[in-house]
Amino acid sequence: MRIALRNLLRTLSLLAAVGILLYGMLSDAVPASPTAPPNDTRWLLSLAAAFPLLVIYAWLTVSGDPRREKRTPDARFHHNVQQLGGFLLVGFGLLSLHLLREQVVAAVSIKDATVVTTSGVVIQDPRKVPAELQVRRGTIYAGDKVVAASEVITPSRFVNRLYPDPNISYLAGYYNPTIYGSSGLEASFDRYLSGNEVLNPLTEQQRKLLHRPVVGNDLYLTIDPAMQALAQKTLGERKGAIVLLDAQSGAILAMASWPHIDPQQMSFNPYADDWGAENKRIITYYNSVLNDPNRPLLLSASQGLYPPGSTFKTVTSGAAIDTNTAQPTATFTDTNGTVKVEAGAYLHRDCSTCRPAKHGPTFTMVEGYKWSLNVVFAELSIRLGANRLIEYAQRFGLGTRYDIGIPVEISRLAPDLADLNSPNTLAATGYGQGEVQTTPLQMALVAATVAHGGQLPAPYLVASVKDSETGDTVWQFQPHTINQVLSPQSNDTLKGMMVASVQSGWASGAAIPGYVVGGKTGTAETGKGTSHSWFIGWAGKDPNRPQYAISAFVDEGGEGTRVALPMARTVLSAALGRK
Amino acid sequence: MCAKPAPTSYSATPASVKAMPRGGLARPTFWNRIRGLRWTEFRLLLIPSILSIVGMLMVILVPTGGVRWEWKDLWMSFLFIGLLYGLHIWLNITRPRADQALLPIVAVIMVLGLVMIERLEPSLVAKSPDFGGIARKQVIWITIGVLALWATLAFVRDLNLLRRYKYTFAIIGIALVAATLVFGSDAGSGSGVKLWFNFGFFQFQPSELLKVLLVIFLAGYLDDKRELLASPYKVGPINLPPLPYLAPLLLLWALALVLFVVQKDLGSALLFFGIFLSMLYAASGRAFYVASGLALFFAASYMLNLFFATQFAHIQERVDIWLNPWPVGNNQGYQIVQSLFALATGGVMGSGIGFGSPGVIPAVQTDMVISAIGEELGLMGTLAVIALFMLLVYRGLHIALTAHSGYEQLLAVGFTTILGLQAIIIIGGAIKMIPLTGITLPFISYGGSSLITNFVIIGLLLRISSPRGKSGTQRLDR
Repeated sequence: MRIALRNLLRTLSLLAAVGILLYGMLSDAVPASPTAPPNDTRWLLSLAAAFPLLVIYAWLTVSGDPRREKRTPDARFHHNVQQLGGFLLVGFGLLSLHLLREQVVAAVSIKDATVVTTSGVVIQDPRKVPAELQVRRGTIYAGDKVVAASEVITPSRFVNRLYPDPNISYLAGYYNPTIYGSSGLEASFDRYLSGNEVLNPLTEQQRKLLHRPVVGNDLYLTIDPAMQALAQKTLGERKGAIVLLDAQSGAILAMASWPHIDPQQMSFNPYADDWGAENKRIITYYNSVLNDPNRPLLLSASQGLYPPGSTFKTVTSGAAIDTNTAQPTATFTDTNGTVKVEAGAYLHRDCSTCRPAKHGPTFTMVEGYKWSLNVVFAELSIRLGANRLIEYAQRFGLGTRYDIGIPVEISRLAPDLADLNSPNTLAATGYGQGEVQTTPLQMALVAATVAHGGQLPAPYLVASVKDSETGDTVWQFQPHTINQVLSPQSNDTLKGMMVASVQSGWASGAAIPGYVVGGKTGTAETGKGTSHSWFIGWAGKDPNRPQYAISAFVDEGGEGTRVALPMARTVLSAALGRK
Repeated sequence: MCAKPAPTSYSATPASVKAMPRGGLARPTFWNRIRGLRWTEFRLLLIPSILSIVGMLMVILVPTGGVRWEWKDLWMSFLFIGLLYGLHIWLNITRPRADQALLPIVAVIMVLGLVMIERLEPSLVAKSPDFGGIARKQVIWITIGVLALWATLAFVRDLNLLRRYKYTFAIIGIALVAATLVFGSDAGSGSGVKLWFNFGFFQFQPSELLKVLLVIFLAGYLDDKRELLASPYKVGPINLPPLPYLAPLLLLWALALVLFVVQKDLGSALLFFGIFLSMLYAASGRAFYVASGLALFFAASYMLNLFFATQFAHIQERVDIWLNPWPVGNNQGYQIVQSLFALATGGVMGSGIGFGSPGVIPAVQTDMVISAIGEELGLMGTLAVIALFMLLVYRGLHIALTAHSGYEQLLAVGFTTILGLQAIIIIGGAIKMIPLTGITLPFISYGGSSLITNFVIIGLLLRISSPRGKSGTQRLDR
């Protein structure tokens, strides 16, 4: 009877201890925030609770029948020593369990823990930086050019990250494991570049056992190095951007921005004798670009939001045609180059040189488009109404988050779409003023949509990721369209308007002999008395499938016709002529 | 009569002898002598020998990334193997019936430590040139330790001599520790914890010696009073513990404890307390003593906390760091946070010897050596260390059970408890299972006093496992 009771107690204490330990082992091992260290309180409490239970278990296991064994002192001693051994065994057992917790269960959250103390000191695994400096990150290619590469230094096994191409490398972002982390493609494709994307767990274990270094995968960009170099050269040191797209696929062939940073300056050079000084150099450089009023950390092409000016009339026209609000032959009245859409509102004006002299008060929509008459588009916007303009602007991509691997600002019609309920704002938005703000990439996509049969193509910068050793494709971008913006018929009509703008409008400077070119200039008022210079367009051999779409933008560059248009034409004609 | 554990091949009694009829003597023929040699130990010692060569080769070759090396690079391994087999031969000659597993277990533990220290040396030298040659020094300490083991076996012919002078030993021990209060230095650690005597060439830590002396004293005292302690003390109709016989023990223990609290050597205080309770339990078998001892300990801590708040602020800080080291991870909690990073980095397989960076952990060569093993050898390595200590404890307790007198039994229990508890306390501290206290991991940590003392302990255990000639009182059941 007593033995049965003892066995029951023994079993219960063991089960309770195992249960408590299991609960404690798994609780709080993975903290809520990825950088918080694991909270050990519950685990330590469960250890403290399991300890006496296990000691009781060991004690009851060893003690035989006390009455019989108490006879000889030696037997009793034997018994005591076994119990002492049981106690030490429990101690070693708990040590093993604690090691299991620290080395396996909670290991990942300990390694990733980053704690900032009250005095502002950052506590982090000191292995992190040297380990990341030893990662042989993959190479980034653009055509035959190397955009970013890793140079392995022997015998230290540290890696020097190189950014050899001044025209393209800044698109890769920077890689700085010591202080600032990474940006751009270096950040968004880090899984592949660092080789952390494990495809085969078996070879991964083999690699670890043999201490073979991790070699990252290579990135292949859509950038055409010649086009990028030309675009960068054409832009020169003017604040702005040129974006050249393959209109049929959405591939970004060139995306030049100025100013931009030099990623090599952000790269930690392990060759440096004094790592502290090397870090200071990087901090100084980073602070200088951070405080630069031109904001070189933000790429104008994808992160700059600007009023698109008259280039936006393409969107308004597309909406009007597709909703049948107005066709190109629809007429509008512009008697003196000004109009008031609302009582007490300001005058909407045509630009001083836009409205042809000696012309009657009536203009068709296509005339309004090619001569860029704001009065016509103010009236058109009112006829269109806010809802339809919003719908079509969204179809053209305003409000869409594009995932191209580097940060892209979301273009928008207005910070608050309700603002468009005001006829005055609606009218101004119709010709690209008001509150509408777009990136040069977005406006290139508007041109690409028209060239692509009215379908908005998804833009992409990284074409594929390949294993650097075997050459196998690890990841590939599947070109696709985001949505059908305009019906094919409406799109053909809009395309005709863009061609007319080049053939007989203010965009005539963009014409390239032997090719079909459509385009629209823009001169957007900044509100400071200056104006942004814009041009969007497309060109190709086949009028049904023009191959290239472009946008050129110069911040406070003046008239679109004079500044942005010639830049775009240079790049477009080179693109057309390169085959 | 309870059953004795069946003698295994590791047992003190060689199979050839055991097969002889009771009372008979093995005929000293040539083959019987050969068979009676310590072959089990011989074979088991191959493991640490191979480990020492492979481990040293890894330490030498990993930084170069090549396979060029010379035989003289391995001199430490060969010296180590020479010492092991030298000891083995000497034991064959003088104490053929001593435990055969003890030396191999200790040798494997030691080789892990030696390889780790050799591997840590360049990382530590990068921090401070004072660490130059610590691996060489460790090998010298091991050599001296083996000599100390030999001396223990050669000169301690009669364990009863130790017993006779138990009070003298106790007083010497306490006096030594008390002397560190006056003449102590912090061994250049800058911690201000003055536990060492500085002899210029050698830093001696008396608390290492004290634990051996304490066990010798307690074993003698408890064996003398064993019957009295196990039986209740009657005052009229009430059963009380035999207080008069416990009083000297309590006094001694309290004195040792106070010294350590004043010296802030918490690890040793915890270890002493553990040894005290373990031996008391082994001798008396009364859980009541253990329970009241623990209660007394907590009560005393509470009282001392009230009166010596400044001394205990140190303890409070240790506990706070243990519970959450992260907010102070740049100063007081630095050591433990770095240890956690190292352990987590190691994972299951470890980074491999020479591929981690355990050098960032303060005191990695002494208190935190388990974290370095955890980083480079992974959970596999740390569990191996724990398993080896479990084997060591098992052999030690086995020796206690087969010892030939009550006194020797208690001595063996005490010495085994020292090794086992010390390993639990320091490993537990380094991996943040319990508050961190600065004591060494036996046979692995770098340090002379600790190694020599532990070798003496192993020598005494070997001595207990091989009775030769007259060795005091008979076992209690004979």
